Amino acid sequence: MNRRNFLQNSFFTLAAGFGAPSFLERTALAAAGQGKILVVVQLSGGNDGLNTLVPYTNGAYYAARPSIAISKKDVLPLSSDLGLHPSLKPLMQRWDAGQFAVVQGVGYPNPNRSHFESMAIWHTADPSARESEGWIGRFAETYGDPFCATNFGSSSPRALSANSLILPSIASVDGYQLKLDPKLDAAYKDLLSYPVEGYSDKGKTDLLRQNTLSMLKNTARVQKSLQKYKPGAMYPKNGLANNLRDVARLISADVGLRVYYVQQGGYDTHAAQPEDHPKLLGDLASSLEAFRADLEVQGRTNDVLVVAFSEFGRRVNENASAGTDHGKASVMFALGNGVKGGIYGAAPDLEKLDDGDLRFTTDFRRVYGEAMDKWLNVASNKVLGQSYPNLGFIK
Amino acid sequence: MKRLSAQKFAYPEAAHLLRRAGFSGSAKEIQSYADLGLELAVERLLYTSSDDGTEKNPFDLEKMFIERQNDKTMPGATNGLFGWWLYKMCYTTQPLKEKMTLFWHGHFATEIAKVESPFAMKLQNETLRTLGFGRFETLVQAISKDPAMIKYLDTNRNVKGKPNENYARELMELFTLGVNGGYTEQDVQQSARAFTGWTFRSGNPQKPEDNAKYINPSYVFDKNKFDDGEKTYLGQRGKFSGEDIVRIAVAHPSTAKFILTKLWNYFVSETISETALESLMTIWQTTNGEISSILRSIFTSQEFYANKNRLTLIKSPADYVVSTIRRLGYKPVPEQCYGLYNAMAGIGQKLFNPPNVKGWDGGTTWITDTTILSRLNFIGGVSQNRLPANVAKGQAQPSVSYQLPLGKTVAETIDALGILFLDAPPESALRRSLENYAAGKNTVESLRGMTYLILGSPQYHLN
Repeated sequence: MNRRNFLQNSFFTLAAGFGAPSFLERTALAAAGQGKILVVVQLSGGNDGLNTLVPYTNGAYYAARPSIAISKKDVLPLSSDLGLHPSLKPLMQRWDAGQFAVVQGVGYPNPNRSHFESMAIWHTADPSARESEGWIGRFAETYGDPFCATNFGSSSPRALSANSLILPSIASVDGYQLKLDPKLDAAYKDLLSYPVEGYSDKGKTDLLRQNTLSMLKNTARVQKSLQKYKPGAMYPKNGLANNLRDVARLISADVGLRVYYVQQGGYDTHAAQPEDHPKLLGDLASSLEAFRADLEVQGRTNDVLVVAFSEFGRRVNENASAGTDHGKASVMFALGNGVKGGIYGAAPDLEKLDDGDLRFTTDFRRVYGEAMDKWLNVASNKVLGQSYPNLGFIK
Repeated sequence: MKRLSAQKFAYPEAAHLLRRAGFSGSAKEIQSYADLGLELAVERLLYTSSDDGTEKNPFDLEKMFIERQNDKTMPGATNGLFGWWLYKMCYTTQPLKEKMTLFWHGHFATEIAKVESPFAMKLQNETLRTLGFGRFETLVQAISKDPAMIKYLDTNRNVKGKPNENYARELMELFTLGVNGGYTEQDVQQSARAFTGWTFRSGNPQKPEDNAKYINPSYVFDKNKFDDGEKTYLGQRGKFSGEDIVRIAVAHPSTAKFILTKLWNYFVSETISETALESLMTIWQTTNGEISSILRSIFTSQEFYANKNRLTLIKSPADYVVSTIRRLGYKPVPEQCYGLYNAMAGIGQKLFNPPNVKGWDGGTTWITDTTILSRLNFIGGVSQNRLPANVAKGQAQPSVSYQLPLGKTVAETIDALGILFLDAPPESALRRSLENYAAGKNTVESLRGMTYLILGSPQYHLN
């Protein structure tokens, strides 16, 4: 049997055997603010915020980037002085509909130009680097459900790490199942029900045992909820789009996840930026637009908020390789029917730089905080340690 | 550090040594190390030569590259590269050499996705293998001029007047001092200038007339693009060259500490005691950072063999896959070498394509829902005498010729499986679960089921 036939067949059995929550249940969940979903998109490598949201009337911008600046005629204007990179065109309809927010000058105090240190700060939401758990991990602990957030991909980012629970990480929905004959399945679960004896690192053996058990539980839960899903849109061919299609599939199946985490890599554009950056932003925009169109067919556009971030922006001056080195402040986006479109945060001053980089004007935790307070309905101060003033990008 | 007394080195210690310093092995292989005694067993692991059992490596990259140039349905040199290293890992008689190469690959992490040349990646891999036991500075000097690294961290884009900081930053943050090693942004900017003009020669893979150049990438110094001015670096001032920068970075006290700790984490434990670190620092100083001396000291120490340090590290996907094959004493055919590469990738470790320049974080980050699931899918095949293989259209799956041990009784089978996969007969709860499952039936079917249960147990993830 080839893979396609196999999938079709398994849809038949699943559709006949199991159902998603009934319409009434779903309405009840939505009424309690439980149906709202956050999709976090991590742009790894340090997205060049200045070439994403372009200050197209600023002479200092063009002076700093003679070979990589986006020319005024190519910019997609959002205001009299700011516009989007032309590769983000697929998202312009969202802008026109008032469902696209851009936050500029995003960063944190004492910025770190190391990918890993800065990413850890975004993941833990703690610039002092004292917090070990991820912000989504802490959200999950506050929310109290080990199946409320998932990463897509084989390795789980620190954002989802938590001390008291293990959040799932899914590479693909189809592959997310373990098939054993019933006798072996029962024996395996029996084996996993006992703590490991005779091994010196109990922390590790427990972690491995609990992780395997939770994987078995999670895979069963996901496979049981899957209904016949037909993508409602043509997705482009790239890793991010594949993951977003799986996210749409799980959303349409109402598996109960509140936060989905996906990643797109390649933003570390030290060289040849005019070749690489447009492709990255183009993939991002077309994937997100396909995802939105799909959610519309699934009837879920009102429930989903997308937030994108990167660990830092890039140096204002281009380097000699038609690229940019690691910088500081950058931009974030938010998309969705629940978004109040517009540009948020103060524009960083291109003439008052910090060692060649943009100074941040808006703390990124304000975005996390608002997403939790106004969208996920979880008090953000419990997760972030304090309240941050909302920016107002969520209606 | 105290040395382990020679009398205390027996089969369990040899098994521990091979799990950590190699990719485990069959009972026969472990016994042969136990018979050598502590000192010789460690010397045997530290000995390297070209006759290491991989002389017949079937993956000839040059040939595969030309084949694909003429016929796009052929696998090509990049796949060849993947198979080539997998073959080495499975066949080598000098396993520590491959384990160290893997360590350095994770340390000087370089992605073929950006380098785009299997030949440059192979050259780098050979450099890591050849210099991996020698003085650390020699290795860093070579890696700084390695074409794959130059491409990966944009050194070739770094020119006088407009430096590209990529390599200079990672040299300190990830390769030598470590992120909190005590350098500044100023040091990054100044040292970037010293690597200007460092570039490499290669060819266009689309042009057959370029083949010789493409197949043999090499370092080139472009004097005209080099900034020979004064630089201030880590407290010193001079008209430094790139070589000077590497020398100063390696000599910085943070470097020894950073590298020694990382080696300890890889081979022994997630934490290093003050005593162990001090003792290794002394060896580093007296030997000028010679890696083989460090390893000898680690593998002969009491601490390495202490109970608290046995079966406590989570196997990397490479460990997990290769040790399974080596325990079975199985020699994979080329199609299976590709398959094993892919299995490892599915479990979270794509050789030659680490997630980023920091390499794999390792430890508990290997473990997620998806990686456990992929591990179970792999061992599910193993328990059914199936190994993953990549075959051409219409080609039959290669056969698998290892045998799982079927004893005369269930108890014997359980003991044999335990020794084969866990280096000891299963005890307590695990044994009870296996007995319950077999329910007295010592058949091939229950052998396969018990194999699955042992390989799927939490114990099997640990080294």
